[in-house]
Order: sequence, then C-alpha cells, then structure tokens
Amino acid sequence: MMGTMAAPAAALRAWAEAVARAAEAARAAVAAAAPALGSLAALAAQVRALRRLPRGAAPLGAFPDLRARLWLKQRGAAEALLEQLGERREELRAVRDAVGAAGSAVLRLLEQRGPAEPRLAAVLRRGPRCPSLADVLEGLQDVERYYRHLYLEIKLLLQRLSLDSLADVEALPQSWERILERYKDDVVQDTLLKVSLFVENHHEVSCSPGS
Amino acid sequence: MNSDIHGMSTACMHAKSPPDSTPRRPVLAVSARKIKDNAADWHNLMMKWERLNDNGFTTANKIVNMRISEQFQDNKLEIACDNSATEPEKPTPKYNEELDNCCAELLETLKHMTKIQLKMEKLTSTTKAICDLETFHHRAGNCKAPFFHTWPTPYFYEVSLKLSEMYKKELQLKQTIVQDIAHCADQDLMMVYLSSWLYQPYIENSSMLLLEAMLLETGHRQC
Repeated sequence: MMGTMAAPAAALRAWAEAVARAAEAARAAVAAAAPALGSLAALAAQVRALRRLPRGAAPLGAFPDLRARLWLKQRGAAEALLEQLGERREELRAVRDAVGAAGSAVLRLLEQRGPAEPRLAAVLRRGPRCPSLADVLEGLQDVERYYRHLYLEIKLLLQRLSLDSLADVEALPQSWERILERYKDDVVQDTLLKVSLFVENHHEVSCSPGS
Repeated sequence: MNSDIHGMSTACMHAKSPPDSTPRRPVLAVSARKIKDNAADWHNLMMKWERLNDNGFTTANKIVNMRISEQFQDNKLEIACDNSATEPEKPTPKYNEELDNCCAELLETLKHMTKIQLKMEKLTSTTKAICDLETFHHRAGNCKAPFFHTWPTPYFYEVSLKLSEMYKKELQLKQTIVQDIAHCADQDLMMVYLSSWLYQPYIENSSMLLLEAMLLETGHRQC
C-alpha cells in the first residue's frame, strides 16, 4: 500500500519545492524592478520639461546644442532602464517556465499511473481536512496560470512603453502597482498549503495499517 | 603616481646634457612613463568628477525641491491674501537657511570640479609637450616607434584634448546651472537644469571608451 501514493506524493513535494523557489524568485524580481520604475518615471518628467522649454531659454542661450545632446543622453538612460526592466521580465519568464515544468511533471506522472491507481477513488474523495487530488490539480493549474498571466501582463506593459507617450512612462510605477495588486500570491500560498495537506494525509493513509 | 616624480626629474637632467653623450632611449622611456601616468591620472580625475557629479546632483535636487515647495507655499499664501481684504500686504520672502546651505554646498562641489578640469587641461598640455619632444627627437634621426602597442604619441594628445574639451564645456554648463538654479522660477527650467547636471550632455558617451582605450594601450588594463 505504501508505494501506491509514494510517487505522486514525492512529485507533489518536488512541485512544492520548485514553486516555493519560483515564488521567491518572482518576489525578488518584482522588488528589484522598483528603483528602475521610479527612475524611468522621473526621467519621463525630465524629458517633458525639456520638450516644453522654449528654445534658447535665457540662461541656456549659450548652449545651443544642449537640447539635442541632453535628449540623446536621456534616451540612452531610458534605454538602459528599459533594459534593466527587461531583465526583470526575463526573470519572471523563467519563473513561469519553472512553474510550468514542475506542474507538467506532476501531471505526466499521474497520467502514467492513473489507470493503474487502485486507490483512485479514495484520492478523489475530499475529506474535512484533506483536499482531494482534483482540488490539488486545480490548484496546480491555478498557480501555473497565475505566473503565466503575471508574466504576460508585465511583458505587455513594458512592450507598450515608449518615450513618445510620456504620460504612460510617468504613470509606470502606478500601472505596475495596479498589476501587482491583482497578483497577490494568495493563490500560490493556498495551493502550497493544499498540496502539503494532501501529501501529509495520503502519507498517513498509506502508512496506517488499517487502510 | 607621485613615486614617479623623482625618476622623472632625473631623466630631465639627462635630457639637458649635451646630445652626443646622452643616451636617447631613457628620455623616451621617461616619456612613455609620463604618458602612462597621465592615463592613470585621467582615470582618477574622471572617477573623482563622477563622484562629485553625484554629490552635486543630490544637492541640486534638494535645492529644486525646496524651491518648488516654496513656490507652492507662496501660491497658497497669495490665494489666501486675495481672499482676505483686510490683509492686502504681500508676504515678504523669508530667509531659508537650508536653501542657503545647499547653495554653498553646490558651489563647493563646483569649485572641486573646476580644480579637476584645470588638472585635466594640465594633463593635456603635458601630453602636448611630450609630443613636441618626440617630434624633436624624431628630427634628430630617432625612429618613431609607438611607446606602447599601436598608438602614435600624437594620438594620446588628441584623446586628451578631446576629453579635456568635453569637460571644459560641461563645466561651463554647470557654472550656468549653479548661478541660476536657486533663482529661476520656471519649473521646467529647473527640471532641465537637474537633468543636465545628472546626464552631463557635453561629456559624450565616447569619453569612457576613449579612457578605457588609453588604459588598455598603456597597460593599466589587460586584454
């Protein structure tokens, strides 16, 4: 009996470890983006000021090429900041891929073992303090979707950014924050809890002599 | 680099002795060492300038923030004065000690930057002198092989001059900014001052490349 659930439980444990690591990486990537977001918004305000300034404004009259030169520098700085944010986006993509791969590994294992699983009915039954396998699998998919969508939204937000629309760049920290507000990682924590309850319960079930 | 000063003066003495008895090689070796030292000096001065620029930006930022919040307060007071017919007097601008301190700090930073820029000009004129010396020796029939790897000596002068001109123009811009930043009322202009201070439009991106190339050529950096 012990071996029946051992493999899926081990796979779920491995999934939980991978997702915990990925969640940490996602949190780090999001936190690391904050300074670049602020700098980019400040830079957009500077670009706007430069554009609004009348040509040859009094004290700067002695520097006729200042406008062109400063714009060149500002654009360079914006590109560097966007590149930094691109690195954070790639980190989120790696998180998405890692979570996807961990979920697929569990599903593959269950698919292979599914028809031969003698305790399938017991595993599908939901108890008072034990989620069913279906609950767990649903959670796995939720987590995968969560990181897939988070990555996509961040990617789209960054893709749309351009110094041609300064308002968007100035509002970047707020737009970013709005996305994150919709992505509190409750789903991830809930699923990790679900998985650990499931693994614990089925370990007990498979270990208890009467079962 | 100060340790090289002694060696340098000895070599100069050799150079002054009659041409027939003077081995020319040591003079060239000394020129090469001087150029190498100059490259290191360029590096140190540029790094120092960057640090000062960062400090200056922090100060300039504080000044602009104070000016903007002052303007905001003034506007609020003006509205309040307009509303009350009993007190038509305009509030007198009050002395802001913090603003004054920041301005003094920024002036101090600019003073240090001016000193650095003068040193850069000196480096350039030294390099020019080395070039002239080399031309003199070349006329005397010496071969004109590069001191290090590939750069002919005048190229060191060209690079020095280019860098020096960039910093000179940048310093002029900074002087203008320092003179006006605490007095101008236009927020866009203040913002452009800040941005200009930070991004240094007259120090081209190629400056770092020129410096690194010079360090590589003189052996301070390894390939």
